[in-house]
Amino acid sequence: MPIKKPGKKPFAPWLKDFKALSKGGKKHTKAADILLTPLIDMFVLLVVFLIMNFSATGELVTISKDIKLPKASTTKMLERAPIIQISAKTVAVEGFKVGDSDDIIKDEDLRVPQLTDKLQEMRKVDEMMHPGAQFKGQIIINADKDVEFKLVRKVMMASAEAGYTAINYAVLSVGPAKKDGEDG
Amino acid sequence: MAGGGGAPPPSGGGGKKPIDFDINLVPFIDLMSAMISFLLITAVWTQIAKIDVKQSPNMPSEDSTPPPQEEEKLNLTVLIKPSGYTVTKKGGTVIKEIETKGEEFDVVTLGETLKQVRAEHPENKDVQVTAEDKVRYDELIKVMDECLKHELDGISVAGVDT
Repeated sequence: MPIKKPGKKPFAPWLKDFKALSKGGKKHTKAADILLTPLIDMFVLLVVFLIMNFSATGELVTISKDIKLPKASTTKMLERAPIIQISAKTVAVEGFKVGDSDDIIKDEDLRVPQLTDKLQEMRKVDEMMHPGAQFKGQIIINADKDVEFKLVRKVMMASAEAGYTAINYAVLSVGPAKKDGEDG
Repeated sequence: MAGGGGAPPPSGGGGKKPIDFDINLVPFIDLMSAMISFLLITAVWTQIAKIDVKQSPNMPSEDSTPPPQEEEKLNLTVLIKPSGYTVTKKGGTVIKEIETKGEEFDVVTLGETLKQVRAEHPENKDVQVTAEDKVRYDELIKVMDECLKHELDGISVAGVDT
């Protein structure tokens, strides 16, 4: 057997056709694939999560800066109705100010005539818009959690006087809200 | 060509396309991106719900006929005072006085009391929540929430005449 001079042995001669491993293949190919599987996994998870949170009804009550709603766990879903906003400073109906909270609290009379008038006006409009339909008298009270009960009570009284007797308190739901009439 | 029933060789003859292929993922990712954008924009993060109450007995009403007085009614009442809760029933009989723990109202004990009342009178679902003028609105909601947790869903709200 002839003696061979020691030297570099070719690495894996069967791969010599591959450019990267062949002798002259110092230049690597520039095309690289991004692994898409984790990206698609993440997208699917995000879509599922967002669809679960999706609400077709949208927001009926807008959250204002000076009203912090109380939290409750056993709640029902809101339906469209006129909204009375009660903050520490003002009382408003559908965004129109009807009085200062302090003035209303200080007044010893339980009635709030300006609020009653505004609600009666809204009731007339509602009855004109829906002739023949029975007036439901639904109203939403959107009050700050730190206001005194006296103020809420006076607003309730004024609402009842104007015929809005079905009073709903807007709360921040900490659990799933039930539909009206749903039991359990 | 030699006939036979054998399987065709995996490679060789012209015109045969390779079996493995890639699904074009670009439209799928486009759709996903559009959906995520839409859902993120329309997402509602704070869920506002309602607690509804029945008309209170001392509120002005359009209905001129007063509701029939039933002798059998329990007349369960929860009075909220700045010093705590008082749970009473028919004839003003005090079921329990629950004092505040420091600044906090003891909602847990109220819950236990309501549970006990529910067990004793399973037919009764009505409760009147009465609050003094100085009580915070948040405390009223907490009591109503506690009543609803114990299936007392015929809630009416009233004030205390001082």
